[in-house]
Amino acid sequence: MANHKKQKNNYTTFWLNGVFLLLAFAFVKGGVLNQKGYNWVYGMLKENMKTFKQYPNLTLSQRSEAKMGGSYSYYKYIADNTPKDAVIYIPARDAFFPKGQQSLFTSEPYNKMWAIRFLYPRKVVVPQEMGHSIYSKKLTHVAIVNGVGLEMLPYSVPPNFKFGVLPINNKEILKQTK
Amino acid sequence: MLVVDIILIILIGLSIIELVCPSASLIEKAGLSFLTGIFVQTILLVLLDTLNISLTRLPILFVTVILWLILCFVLYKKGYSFKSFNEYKNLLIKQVCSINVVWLAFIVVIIYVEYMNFSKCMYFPTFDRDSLAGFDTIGYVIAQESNIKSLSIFDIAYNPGIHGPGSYISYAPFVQLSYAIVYIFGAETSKIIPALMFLFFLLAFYGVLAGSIKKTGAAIITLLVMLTPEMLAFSSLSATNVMHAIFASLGTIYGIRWLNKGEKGDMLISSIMLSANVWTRSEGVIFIAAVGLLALIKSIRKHTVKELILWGVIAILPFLYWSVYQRVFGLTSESIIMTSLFYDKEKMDMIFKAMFNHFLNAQYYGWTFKILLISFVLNLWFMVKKKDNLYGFFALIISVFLYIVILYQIDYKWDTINNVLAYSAKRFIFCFVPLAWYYLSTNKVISYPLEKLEDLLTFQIKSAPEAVKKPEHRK
Repeated sequence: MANHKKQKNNYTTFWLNGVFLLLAFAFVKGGVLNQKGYNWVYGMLKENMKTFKQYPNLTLSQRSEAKMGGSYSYYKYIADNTPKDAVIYIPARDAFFPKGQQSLFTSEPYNKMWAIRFLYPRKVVVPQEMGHSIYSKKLTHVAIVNGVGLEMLPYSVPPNFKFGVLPINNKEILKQTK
Repeated sequence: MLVVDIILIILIGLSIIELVCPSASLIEKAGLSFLTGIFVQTILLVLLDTLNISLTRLPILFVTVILWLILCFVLYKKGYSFKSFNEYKNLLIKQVCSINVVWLAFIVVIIYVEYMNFSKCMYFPTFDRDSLAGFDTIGYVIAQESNIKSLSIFDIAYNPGIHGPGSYISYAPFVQLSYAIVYIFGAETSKIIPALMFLFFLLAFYGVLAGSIKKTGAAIITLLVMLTPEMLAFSSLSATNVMHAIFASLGTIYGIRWLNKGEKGDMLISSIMLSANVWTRSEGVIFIAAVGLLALIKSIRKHTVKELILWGVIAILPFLYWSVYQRVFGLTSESIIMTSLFYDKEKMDMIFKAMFNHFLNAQYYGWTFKILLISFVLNLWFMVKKKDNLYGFFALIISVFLYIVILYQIDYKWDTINNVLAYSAKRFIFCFVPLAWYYLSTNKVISYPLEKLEDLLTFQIKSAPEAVKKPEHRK
């Protein structure tokens, strides 16, 4: 008798589960995912999934480049082309994001801490620290951004030199070219 | 090596939770394990640095293993023993017997969304501005220079503006130290920390909720918390906000449970999580103040302060230590808090307006605060007549109020008030999201139907094994 009742209860429970499962599906699909915010975040996750499936073997450097664009590539270039004990001058914001022009950079490459993350153990000096930091007197390199920074060099450089990193002392250039 | 350290972190956390709250469910223990373990390991880093011990793999592993052995010894002395295989088997059978399809469907959706979120977090390196201009860089440099107090980036000769208002030198230490740990153990990026923090938070939140409103309701609410748009988007970035929200909300939720049920285990978990909350962001002190105020009122009425004192000491001790450490080693910056009282109507209006607009913004927080309001209104009768969920209500209201007070008392000299209200405040509200869902779902008007739903949907496949000697689960 008890078994029969239990079976009957389970039969009802089975149907109730079915009904509530449909309701849950309608709630998630028709309610939650129809709301603007939830829909946005779910769509964003799905888009990201597509990206990893499309490019599963990208290196960390390539993924960094995909997210930070020119800012990452530029600092990677500087790190690859300067010694570890270099003291590098980084120009101000306006050099990276000139007014009225499209920029190759994203985020805050002009921020000292931001630059340190990619240039460490090299030392970074920013314009507002010139004369205040002891390292401003020990600069070894200047980062050239949109041609800004060339004025810091004691030697002349062709004016069409827009991006790169140059040593303060041109003897180092000679050393490198040898 | 990183995997070894993560396993040790989980073991440390698990041992601590087993020690302070043996009656917590298995899923709560699992969820809280990493959260507690990583918090404790960051404290160990500061202690090692105070003693001038280099922050390298060997000393960190050594003190972590020693601490774990001590915890195991204390557990052994307290009579803890591992469950037998049969007990685990019976526990599993009991769980399987009480499964229903709706619960299963929600769990599958949660796992799927978390899989997507975890993958996204791990795939992309750190790129958000606040992390690269602060937390991640500090963590990276700590790992390179093997110390905290004498970092090159904290040297005024190299960084003339380091002691200026709002400088990162005075930030609470959790995030940068947890990033330092993974860099020390050889990670290329620090993204494993936010990824694991969110994963373990989901387990802990589901666990704590399942203990209050049963598992089907807990699965539905956990999905809604997890899908909170702005919070989910930020959970895969390296910024502090979601990690802070995890500690702050869990600490307050366990605090509410402690005040409601009076269980010592809840009190201790609350104090540990709230301690981690203020170890992550100093504004987190508002959650300690909110729960502390409610606990003080209860203590006065019950004429007992012993638990309150213990709770308070655990909640603030690590942060006090960090504050003394900062003073001693000169890791300080110009204060941004105005301590004198003043009246500025324009500033007050601006803050109230911004907060009001944030709370109503469904693009950021989904349905959270709208459902909170509905649940509050529907539960008014129970709240007034039966004093239902009063601690939950007041913990939420007091912490929101205190946050508004903090916003008002800030001297906006390092950033504009508009920026702080638009970005920082928006992200600080993440702390209130799990808290709001916990409060609204444990209100009688919501919890009762959810519990009934669970009863309706549960199959009577087989009576649960009698052999399970699990500590009685709290409700």
